[in-house]
Order: sequence, then C-alpha cells, then structure tokens
Amino acid sequence: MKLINKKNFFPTVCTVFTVLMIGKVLLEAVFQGVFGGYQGNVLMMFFFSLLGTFVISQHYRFQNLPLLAVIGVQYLLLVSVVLGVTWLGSFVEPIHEEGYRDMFLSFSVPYGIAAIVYYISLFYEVRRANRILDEVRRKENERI
Amino acid sequence: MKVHYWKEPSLKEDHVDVHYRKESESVEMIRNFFLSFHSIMGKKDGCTHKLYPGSIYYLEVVDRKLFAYQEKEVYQIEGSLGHFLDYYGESGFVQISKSAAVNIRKVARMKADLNMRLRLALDNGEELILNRNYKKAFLEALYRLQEVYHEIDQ
Repeated sequence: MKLINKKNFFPTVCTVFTVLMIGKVLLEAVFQGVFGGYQGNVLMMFFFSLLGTFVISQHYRFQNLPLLAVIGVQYLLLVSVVLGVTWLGSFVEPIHEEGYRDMFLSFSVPYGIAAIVYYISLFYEVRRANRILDEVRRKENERI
Repeated sequence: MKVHYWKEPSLKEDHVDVHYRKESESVEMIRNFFLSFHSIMGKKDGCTHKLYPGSIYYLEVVDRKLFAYQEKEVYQIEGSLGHFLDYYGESGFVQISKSAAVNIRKVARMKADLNMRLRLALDNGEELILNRNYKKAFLEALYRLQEVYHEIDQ
C-alpha cells in the first residue's frame, strides 16, 4: 500500500514543514535561549492557522444559517481573537503604534479576498450547473 | 451509442433490449433509468397507489414518515430515505438535506440568492433548498449525468 499518494502528498509536505519549523523554534528557544520577533511570528502564524482551520471545520454546524451571516459573524469573531492575541502579546513585547492596524489589515485583506473568491466561485458553479441542466433537458427532449 | 425505435402494433407488450459490448457508465445509466419504471407503493387517504420513481419530484421526511411528492400529489411511502436512495440513488435521486432528496431530472434551474443560499426550482414550480453540505454531491451527480450523455453521443 502506498503511504503517500496524490491526495496526501501536499498535506504531508505541509505537516512535515510545520513540524520542522515549530521543532526548530522550540529547540532553539529551549537549548539556545533564542526567542525573538521571528520565532514569535512563526508561533503566532501557527496559532492563527490552527484557529482558522478550527473555524472552517465548524462550518457544518451552521448549514441552516445564511452564509453571509456566517461569514460576517465568523469574521467578527476571528478579528476579535487576532486583536485580542495582539493585545496580550503587548504585555510581553511592546507593540508598534501601527501594530493593531497592521494586524487588522493582515487578517482582513486575505479574509475579504477569500470570501469574494468563494462568492464568485459559487455563482460560477450555479451558472455551470444551469448550463448542464439545460443541456440534459435538451438531449432528453431530443430523444423523446 | 445507436438507438433504434421500432413501432410494432402487433406486440403484446412494449419491451426494451439493450445490446452492449462491455459495462460502461452509459449502460449503467440505462439500467438505472429502467429501474425507475419499477413501481413502489404509496399511500394516500387510506388507499394504496402504484408510483413510478421517475414520476417523483422529491422526497421528504416529515415526523419520521417518508413522503414522495409528484407534480401535484403527495404519497406516503414505506421505508427510510436512506433505503430509497440506496435503491434508486443511481436513477437520479440525490440527497439535498438531512431529510430530503430530489429527482435531478425534475430540476429546472439552480439559483443562488444574495445570502448564498442555493435553491432548486423544479418543473412543477416548487423550490427546494439545497443544503451546503450536500452541494458537492448534487453537482457531482449532475456532472456524471452530463458525462453519460456525452458518452451516449459518442
């Protein structure tokens, strides 16, 4: 049996890369006492990835709610967590005066782009589905 | 695939013979299509009626009872939605929510409103909501149907 196939190749690469990066940061912190802005950023990115994946994994719980409402509430929740974590981080290390704005933009812009892409792809899927429905209908009528 | 129609008034019963070289998606589709001519029993007002799955627009579970909706009539049928889909799933029935399934051949249009809620407009004017969890399965069934028609054309 192939352990790594086409489907799990990239997820495996991502997992290995993450383990190496986090391992490196932690080992450097423990054995060499190195923990600066770079290491902090890596751990923060890891934390946000965990959070984002968790939120997306909970989508199935909100199937009966309008998607725009889910996206909006999800955005407010996540942006609060991001800014909250930044605020907590300010007790460990001072935040630049534009730090909150930068964190807000760093989160909001990719989130907005992803939401727009999803929105457009949905309408594209609907258009394609209608084209197929028309085609199937036409062919069935031709055969009658 | 070549299709011939023979009108023979002297026949005692209409029949269809399918000649094929090997199993393929279109053969499977034809088999499933004719499976939809098998009748099932539906109850309405205490009377039992014969229903053809192909005439059913959609199915819905209400109070743990399974109902089959035709163009205008509604019948209660025995069994669960899962069992029905196990048997007739390949005949064009696709689950669209936890408690409903639609006959894909009766879907006229798919619509998305501003809230990104997907609706299926049926030939009889009714609209059903396609739950986002089942969108992928519905689209895959539609793509399969299109492939089969392409295969038949070749």
